[in-house]
Amino acid sequence: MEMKDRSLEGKPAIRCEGVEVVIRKKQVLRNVSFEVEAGRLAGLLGPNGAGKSTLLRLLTGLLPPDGGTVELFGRPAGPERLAEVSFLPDRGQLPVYLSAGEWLGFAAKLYPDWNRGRERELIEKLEIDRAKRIGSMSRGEEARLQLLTCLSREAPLLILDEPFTGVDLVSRERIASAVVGEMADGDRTFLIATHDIREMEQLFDCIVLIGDGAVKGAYDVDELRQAGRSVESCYREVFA
Amino acid sequence: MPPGRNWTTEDFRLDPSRPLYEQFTEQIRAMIAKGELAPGERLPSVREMASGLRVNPTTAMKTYQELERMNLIVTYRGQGTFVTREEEAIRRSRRQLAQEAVRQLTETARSLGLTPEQLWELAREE
Amino acid sequence: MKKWTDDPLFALEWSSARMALPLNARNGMIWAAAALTAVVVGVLLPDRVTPESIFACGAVIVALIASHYGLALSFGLWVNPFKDWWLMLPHPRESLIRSKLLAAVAKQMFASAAVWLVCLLATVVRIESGVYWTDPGAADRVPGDLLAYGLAYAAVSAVFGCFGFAVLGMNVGWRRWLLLPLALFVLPLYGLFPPVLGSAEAVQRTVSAGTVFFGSCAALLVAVPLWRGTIRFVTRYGLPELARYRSAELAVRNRKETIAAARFPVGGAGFRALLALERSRFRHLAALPPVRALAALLVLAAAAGGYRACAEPTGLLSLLSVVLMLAMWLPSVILSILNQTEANSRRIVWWLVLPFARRALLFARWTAVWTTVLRWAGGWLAGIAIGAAARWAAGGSVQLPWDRDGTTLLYLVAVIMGIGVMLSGTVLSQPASYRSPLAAWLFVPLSSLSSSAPFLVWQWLAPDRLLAEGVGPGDWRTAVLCAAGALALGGFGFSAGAKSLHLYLVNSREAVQRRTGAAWERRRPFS
Repeated sequence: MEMKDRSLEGKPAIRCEGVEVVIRKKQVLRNVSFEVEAGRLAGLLGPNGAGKSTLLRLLTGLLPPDGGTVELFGRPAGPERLAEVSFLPDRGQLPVYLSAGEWLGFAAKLYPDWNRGRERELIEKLEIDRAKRIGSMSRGEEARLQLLTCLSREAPLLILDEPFTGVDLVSRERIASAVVGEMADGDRTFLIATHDIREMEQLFDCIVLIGDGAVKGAYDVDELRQAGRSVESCYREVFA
Repeated sequence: MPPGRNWTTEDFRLDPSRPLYEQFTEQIRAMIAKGELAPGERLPSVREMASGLRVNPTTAMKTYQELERMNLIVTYRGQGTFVTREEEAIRRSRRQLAQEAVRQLTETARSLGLTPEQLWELAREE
Repeated sequence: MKKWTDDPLFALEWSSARMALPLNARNGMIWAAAALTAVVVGVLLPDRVTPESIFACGAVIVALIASHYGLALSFGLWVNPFKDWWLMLPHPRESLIRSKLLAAVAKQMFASAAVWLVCLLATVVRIESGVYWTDPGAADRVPGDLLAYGLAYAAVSAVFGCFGFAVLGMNVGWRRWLLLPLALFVLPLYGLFPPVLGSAEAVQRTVSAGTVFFGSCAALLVAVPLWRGTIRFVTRYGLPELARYRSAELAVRNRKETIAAARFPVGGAGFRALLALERSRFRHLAALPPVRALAALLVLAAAAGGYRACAEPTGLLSLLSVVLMLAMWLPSVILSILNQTEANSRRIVWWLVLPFARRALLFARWTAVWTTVLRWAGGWLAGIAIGAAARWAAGGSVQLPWDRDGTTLLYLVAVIMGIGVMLSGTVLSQPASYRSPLAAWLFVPLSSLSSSAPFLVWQWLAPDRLLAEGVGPGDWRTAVLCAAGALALGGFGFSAGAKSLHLYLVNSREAVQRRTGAAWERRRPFS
């Protein structure tokens, strides 16, 4: 059982201000500023190459920004805060020579915030075959296993980078249901980067649109809909 | 008490340009009014609804709050959410639906320059 | 060449292969820096090393580079995301493989030419500085050496390049066992350095220009059918496998799709789990049948060596030194290959995001590699002991002047292990070379030095002298120096690497190729 850190109350889960990133003389992110409140499901939308993956790597603390600040729950992001963030990499791969069960055995010991109960629930929900070798899994199966690894932890912030790329329909629906199921308690924040809007449109609380390394807009989805616009139409307006 | 069925995406038709909770509220109200949801029938929890329909739990919560405000559903602590058994509330919602339908009919009639009755006659003409 | 570059398949392969070649200013400088370091090493070799020995050493290096490049190509092809596109090209399968092999060997020719130049320069410098005053004919032999060894390098690149490339066909079923004879061809190359550099009469006869010339002609004759055979072999057996399976690894591709019980018990949580994860990789590989067979063979070889070596008083000590040298050098090799392949694969992000300090991540990897290598070394030592015991039991003479050789052995162990620690620390500092161009320039000579380490250490330690004379106080001083140097340099390299670990993310081979490719197109020398 974890004790809720009282000092986290009221602080936004993610806060970026004036973030700049230059990789090999190319300006990948330019003056990026936005906020995501705790407990919300935020979407990071933008075309390919907009800088989404770089931004997410910044949030996990893997890359330091060249300018500006990145704060998670009020404190600066960095590799020492990895225990508070559960990150699903884009096109990542788990060790192919392990079976799903073996990997989960390791994961349970490697992640200090692993929740065995959740793991069991999710194995059923996501239909993971523990005996199957990761190298023999289809893309959909491996995607579900990777998501399970992320969701079985109790980290307060979950960042998913393109969780649906190349995944079959049924797996996608299972993944979306699982994500929603994890949200319902209200104490986890999700940031999902995707350019697959139709899948996730109904899930987002708020969206941040990013293109060419700059923030093109940040909206509360309910407000958008009150004004008669859908997330998709908003995206088209900004990017098309 | 065993839970009732959970909703699937087939049960609803959604327009992404309008607030989702409003649409869920309307359509669930219609289900109650038509009797597709029996009085006293148990509804899925907020979490189950969100998970089954793949919508944000906040949306599901707002939907139930609205429906509760309209007295169409009741939540009993520890037991779940149920369709109201109150006849009056259901009848009231049926009347509201009927009024809405008639209003639309009247609007269409007006746009054709007819009264609702004339519109009705016109439709039945061969 | 004109005809070949017109061939679209070859042009495609060449466009990728040439990106590492010294055809632009930046690569040219890197190659020059590495070559210069090698020349310096060559010049500083002991005086007794003849020009022919230097060239022969170069030949071994060329063989190693060629076979390793072929191997890397084979493994890389499995995980190459372009693989499926390539397989779908509407050309005969043999043409696909032929152009790939051709491009690989052409690339090797560049490397061989570089090595040839390095040997030439080192020899010339040595002659000019009067190293060979005892051997006045050395200068006259050089032109002959150049010719003979030029031919030799070409033959060796081709032959060993084919060997490495043939691994593509050895993924499944009975063909996996072919890896054994292949390993037996390639692995002993590492052991050739000390004898080749020796000044014994027999050795010098073997490496003289005449012998080498005829040997190369023979090798070239073998190379032609070998070339054709490799192409056919890979086309027939390798390509269908490539097409059939989605993910790479030799490891994964046996019949077992499911593993019912967990194979790797995880002791504790936290760091111990991390260590267990790193070791699971090695334990998995070690359980594969071809690897088990290879391991058994190596232990048998050690036993045979032990049996024979006990005949001479210094024999046992030399054999033990060989095992020690391997134990010193293997961890660095494994670590560098591991980091490189991990960096280019899609696994690295998961590794970096594990909730551990980066030093812990690196330390777990370092520990896992060292424990694995030390276990192997233990196995070989046991083999040697068994061989010696067998000789003793068979009534043969076993020369073990223990008290003197005891201290010598201790000394050797201390120095060599110290160097091993230093080397592995240096290897781990590789990501720090991505920080700035200066760091990258610093890293090139460092890594060239570390790959020639066993070779250097053997020369410098001069175990023959040690064995003859025993360990003196001067030697103990060097031992202490080594220990200090090991801790300092190794520790420093380790920290530098840990701090820069995240740079793997933006410097994977794919990312670098994207940048380099783009720069090439725009004709900019520095990207």
